[in-house]
Amino acid sequence: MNSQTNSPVNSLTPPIQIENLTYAYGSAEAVRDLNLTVRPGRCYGLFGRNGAGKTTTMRCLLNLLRPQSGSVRIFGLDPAKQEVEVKRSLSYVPDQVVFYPWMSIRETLDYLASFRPNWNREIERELLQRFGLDPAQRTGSLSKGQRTQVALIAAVCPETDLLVLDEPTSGLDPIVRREFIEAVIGAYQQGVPGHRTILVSTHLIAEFEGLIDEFTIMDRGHAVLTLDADHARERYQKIRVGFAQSMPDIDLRAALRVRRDGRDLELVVNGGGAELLERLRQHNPQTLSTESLTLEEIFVATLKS
Amino acid sequence: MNTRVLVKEARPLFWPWCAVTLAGIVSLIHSAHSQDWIRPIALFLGIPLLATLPLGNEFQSRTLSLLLSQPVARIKIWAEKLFVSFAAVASAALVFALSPLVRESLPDLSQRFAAAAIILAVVASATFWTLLARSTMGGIVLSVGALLVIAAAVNLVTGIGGIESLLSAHLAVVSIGVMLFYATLMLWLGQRNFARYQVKGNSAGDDLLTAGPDVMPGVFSDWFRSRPAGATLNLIRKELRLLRPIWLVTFLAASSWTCFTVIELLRREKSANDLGLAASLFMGVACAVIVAILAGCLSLGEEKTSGAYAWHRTLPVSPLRQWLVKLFVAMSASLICAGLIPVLLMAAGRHFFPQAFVQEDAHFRMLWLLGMLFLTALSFWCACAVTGTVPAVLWVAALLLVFTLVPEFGNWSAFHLAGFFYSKIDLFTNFRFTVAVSKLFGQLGLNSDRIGYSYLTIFELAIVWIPATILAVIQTYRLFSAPMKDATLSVVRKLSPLALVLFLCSLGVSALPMLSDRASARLYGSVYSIHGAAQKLLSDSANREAAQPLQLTTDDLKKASPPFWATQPRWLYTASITVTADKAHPTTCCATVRFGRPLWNYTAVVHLADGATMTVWYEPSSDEPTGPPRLNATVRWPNSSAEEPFLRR
Repeated sequence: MNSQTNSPVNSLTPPIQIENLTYAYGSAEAVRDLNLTVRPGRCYGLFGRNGAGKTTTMRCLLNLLRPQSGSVRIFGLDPAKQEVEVKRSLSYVPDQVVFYPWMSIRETLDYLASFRPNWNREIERELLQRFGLDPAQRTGSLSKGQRTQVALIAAVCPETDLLVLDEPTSGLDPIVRREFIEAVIGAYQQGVPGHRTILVSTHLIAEFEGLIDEFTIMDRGHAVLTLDADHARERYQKIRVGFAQSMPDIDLRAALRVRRDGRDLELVVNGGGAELLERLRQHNPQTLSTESLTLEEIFVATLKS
Repeated sequence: MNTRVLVKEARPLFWPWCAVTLAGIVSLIHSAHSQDWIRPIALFLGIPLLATLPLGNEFQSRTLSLLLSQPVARIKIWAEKLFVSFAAVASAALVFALSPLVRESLPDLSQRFAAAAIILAVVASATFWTLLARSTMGGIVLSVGALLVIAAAVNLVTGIGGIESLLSAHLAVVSIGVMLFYATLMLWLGQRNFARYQVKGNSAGDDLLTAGPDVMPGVFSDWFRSRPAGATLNLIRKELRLLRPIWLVTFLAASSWTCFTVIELLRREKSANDLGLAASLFMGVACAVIVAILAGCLSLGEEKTSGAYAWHRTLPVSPLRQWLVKLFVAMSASLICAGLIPVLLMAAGRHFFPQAFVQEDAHFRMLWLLGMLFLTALSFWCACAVTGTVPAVLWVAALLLVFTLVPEFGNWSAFHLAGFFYSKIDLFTNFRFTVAVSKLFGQLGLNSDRIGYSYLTIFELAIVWIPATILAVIQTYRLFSAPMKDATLSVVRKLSPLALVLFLCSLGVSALPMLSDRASARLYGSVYSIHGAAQKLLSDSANREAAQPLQLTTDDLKKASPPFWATQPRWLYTASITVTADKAHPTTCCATVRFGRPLWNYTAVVHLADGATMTVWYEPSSDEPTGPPRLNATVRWPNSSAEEPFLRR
């Protein structure tokens, strides 16, 4: 629980800073001119469809890939030059978890603990119990979900300042998924409030709805939207309006999405909702309601528009 | 059979097939000593690789579940794989069969049939062993291991019966029978197991040899278990565990070799046939080579295939530490398993059967150990450059070809370039420089008698390989620590500096002795010119009786110059040469008349323009009173009183 003492930088340094990152696999561009800054203590979501460039971005952060242009910094450090310092300050759960099949869970965790200055045995014991994992079981005989569970334990126990999760809930059953998000992620951030940062890449956005503070939506290697989650919920609104007679002629160009069903109208707006509401009210609608979009709805609306 | 399916099955075999076939072609057209490593590797590694790859590749690419889920009968899939592997093996083996070396080592037709039966057995058993091992390398190890066990058993049984050596024509028939029975049995077992196979493994690297049950006693397996502290020791333990197939192969090969050799040696008392012993020696060398290659690439290759390498790169351990641990463990494993164990086995054999084993010198043992380490270093380079053990092994073959053919090309270029260069520029206008160059390269032990194009000797190859191997090891760190990029073009790009260093080193190793030869020739030419001129001068009795020393002129030298030293060095024309006849011994006993005329003893003193003094004298042999006279030449440099010899013939 003393990760702050080993923190490589002061609390003002952004845990992650990406500037004009570009990476291509041959002629296929995976990430182009990506800019992203994650502030300390935040849970940052990286959303995108398959092949949007999320995993490539994460691999560049971990120096598994070297940016072809632009730069990445972890706590102000260059992962290519200060690799060990950077990796000491973060834990990573990859999209495809791999362990040595001959090692037991106990041995795997011991092996990983030997590389870490701090390893919280209490959390380890608690999580092993919570996930119902037998420490004597060989990792080669674990299911995909169980391997992910072990990887999550191995990522949380070192108590690093940054947790990088690449599709962490893929392969987990719904119960464990909820357990993981509420208990593991929540407990991790609450360990040192306002200090521990999470970067999570996922397309199961609904699962992380309550946790995400800020997010970037990526599409074909580009960042198409970066917003604070609360601000996004304010900006992205769904307006439902019903008219008693036939629908009047209204200028709806400000809406992202328009769905008409007889005399009912459903609109999705990105900002300018108040102005549109005012215009709708002028036509004396029978019913008029607004609600914030969920992050998943924002994601869908953004990519479809 | 569906052509598209056959193409899909044949595709992963293409490059291995090319490598094995190319090795066969090289040994067919180019049978220099430096290519001696090709046949054992190609036969003991290449053929089983081609046999196991069609199925092993499915495990490696994790596509077996997908393949078995297709609406195709398993028997059909099995038949397609078997057909492709048989076609690949048969065509590659055919190239080797055409080699004159095969005809020499297997003169009898039945012996060749026995060899074909062994190859057939490898192909037929590959499915069974690959399914059991769940990996290509495991399949190779088990199928080769099973063959060794069978061969040892056949040898043991026939040895007790007192029958002739295994490779005699009589036993070859027995071998054919045993191998055909084994092939039929394994074919049936392979088909049966494939039809019943259940996909249990979760990941690549989850194979029998790497992840199989612990066979070690508890005390040892506890030592290999990771601890919560001691990162470096944990890395070493992990590496040792990853190299488990190496320990198994070494154990299997050492026991089979010992068994083979002891039986052969016991049998030798009844038969003078050395073929069996030679075969077991060949097998031992091949196994050692395979172990040395696997020691370099197995650990990293398997980690890259399974994804554990990328996972390790995310841990807070410096790449340098990981690289050092990997390299250290790989080299140590190679040194012990491929280097020391064979040397110790040979020493033990020599101790118990001194008449059967040739006493090899320390130089050979050192060369053997260095050779194994060299192979491991190359293999490690390949494992760093590409993804997976099988691609790494294939690249080892390519790299070995580069390390063999590029020096030969450098040697060839040196010979042709040197001829062209020397015809344009006269380097030896300075006497001191000429003497220094003529002495320098002879002292290095290089082949200074290189008259025309010839192959580099093993010693010269070793000199050429050292700088390139050091560069290769340095490159491995960069390849290991650099982010992953696995492309053929990128590997070739990394290979080009090595090829360039090899070329330059071989060019130097070949060209410098040629330079030395040219300098020596220039010196000898001038000495022989003086000798010829002195003999001509002394053939006149008036000159021999003269009280004062005689002066040689440029004209004398020109006339005396042998036709193959057409141009005289500049230093000789500006020198003052005095000749004094040896009045006490005018001629020597046995060489009084040579080439139809008497030869006179004399001393010629040459004062060169740069202050050096060269003395040339012709005298009777001192150590052999009846032997031929000797032409000697020494030089004394300015400000020095010591006479330095540079010619004595």
